[in-house]
Amino acid sequence: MLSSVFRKTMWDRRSGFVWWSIGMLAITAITVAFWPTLQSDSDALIELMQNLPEGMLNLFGASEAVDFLTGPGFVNSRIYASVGSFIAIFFAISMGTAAVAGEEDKRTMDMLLANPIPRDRVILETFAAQAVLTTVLAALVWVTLILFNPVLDVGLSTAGVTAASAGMVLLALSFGSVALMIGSVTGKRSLAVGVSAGAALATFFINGLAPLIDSIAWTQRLTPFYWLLDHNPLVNGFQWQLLVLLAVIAAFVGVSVWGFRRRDVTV
Amino acid sequence: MSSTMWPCRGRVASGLMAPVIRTDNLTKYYGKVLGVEELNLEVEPGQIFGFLGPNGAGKSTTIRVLLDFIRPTSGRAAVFGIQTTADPIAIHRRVGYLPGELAMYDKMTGAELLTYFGALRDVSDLGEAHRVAAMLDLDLSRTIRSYSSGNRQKLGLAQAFLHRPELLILDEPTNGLDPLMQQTFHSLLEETRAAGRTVFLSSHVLPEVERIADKVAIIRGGRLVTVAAVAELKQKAVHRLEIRFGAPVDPNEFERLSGVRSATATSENTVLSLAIEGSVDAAVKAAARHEVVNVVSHEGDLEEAFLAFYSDPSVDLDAKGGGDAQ
Repeated sequence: MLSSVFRKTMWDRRSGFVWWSIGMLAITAITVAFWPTLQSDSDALIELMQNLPEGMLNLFGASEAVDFLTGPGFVNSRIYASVGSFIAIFFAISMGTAAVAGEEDKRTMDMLLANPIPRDRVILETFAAQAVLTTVLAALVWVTLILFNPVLDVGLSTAGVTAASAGMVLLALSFGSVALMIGSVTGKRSLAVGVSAGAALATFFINGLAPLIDSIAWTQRLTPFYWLLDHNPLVNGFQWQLLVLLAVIAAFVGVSVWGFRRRDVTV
Repeated sequence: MSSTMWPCRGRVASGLMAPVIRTDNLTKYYGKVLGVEELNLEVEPGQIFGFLGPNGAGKSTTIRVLLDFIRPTSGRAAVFGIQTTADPIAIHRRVGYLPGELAMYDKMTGAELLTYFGALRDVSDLGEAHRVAAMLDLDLSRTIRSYSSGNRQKLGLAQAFLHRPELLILDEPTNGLDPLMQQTFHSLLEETRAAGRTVFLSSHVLPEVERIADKVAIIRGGRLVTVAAVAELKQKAVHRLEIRFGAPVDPNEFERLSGVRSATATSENTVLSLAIEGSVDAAVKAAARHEVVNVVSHEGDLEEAFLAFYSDPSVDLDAKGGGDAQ
């Protein structure tokens, strides 16, 4: 059990993770359970949607690329483009923060590093734990959707659900690795949480609203949300855009290693 | 024994063996705040070395440089001849460490913490750690959250001893230990020294260092004040005598005596307070010529020497560099 930093990091989460999982399962299940009702009431919904301002629709993940009134469009906007992804994002941020800045904040880092383990390993093993548990959260979404899909006639494809769930993992790790990076470079816990969570919210709104203003529309491409949602993996399956997120994550983890190597450990 | 085990035998005017810890002009600033400055220390193997100074003097700074948690601003430090910034992992393998700011994983039990650190050290036999915990009367089955600060300290010691390290670096090891446990801890240190291992411990508690250490370095405001054998410091220690006489005496008669630093009389010259460096023989013999009602003696301890170093910055500022010729 407690045989490596990786396993210990997983062990730390053994009770808390249950609640994250329950939250993710509940959100996914409740969302798809609503689909049949929505579908039968679609006239009222179409009218409602037509009255909403464009920006609002964009934020709901219901731009032209995704039709809110199809099963995949609905699931995408409610799960992958909003609540579900944010659960995964905040979970990854909590792990990224705890890894280095949190350990220093609790003043246990000295004792951990007095063991013959390089600082790099603390970064890489805690990040591996973050990646594994975030993947488990996304896998719960995958399982729920795959189970409900035939029963409720949502019209999802297995390839689409798989790609979008993998994309959710990468989206969450983008921000989780920012938290890890800021914690590793500065050792400041509140900064790590603040910047990464702030970046998640800010880029979410930029991705939704920037396209409405031509002069700043390009800023959308700076957000991880764009690289997940723009090519609509839930409908189109795996696309190369997801690799952009992978590269960003690798870069942030690399900076984390560099940053923690070079600085003093805070007491 | 083969000659390779004694690499320094040929060195002239030096210790027999290479120092376990050595710092060369070690300087550490936190921004503009001084941690330590121009620190030169040598700790020989098989010693219990006391690193003495008030809080904030730079003890933890020095220790954290030795373990490469922080990097020197200038100068350098080596443990087992390995420069701290070059290969800290090789150093960590051979060092047991007790942090001064002791915090541990609250959710674990004591036993779980030992299991975890044993795994990180690749040590499967936790017998030594459990033996130390038992000696210190620590219940390892409870969670660390429920431990008192004394119990946390005991667990911190148990994990420091876990891999039978050649060198123990203990930052304020007796913090929170009750007197009985301090005794146990001291016998643990003596046992460690008897096995030829080295102990480097910091403290702001003088009598403790005096009782256990072979050599002591005194640090103040980030600078080394002195390094000396404890026996040597004790000689400098000032004894205090308070003598009550049956009739008034003249303090000047005592002030002239050898070793007497000060003599003050109170209660109409019937109570004499003496501060004496070294032997009290002359003063006692002089007092015997008068009617002595009572004598109160305060054990001459390192504290007196220590306080002298602190109160007077000019005292012995030439550090002796670990007592060895360079």
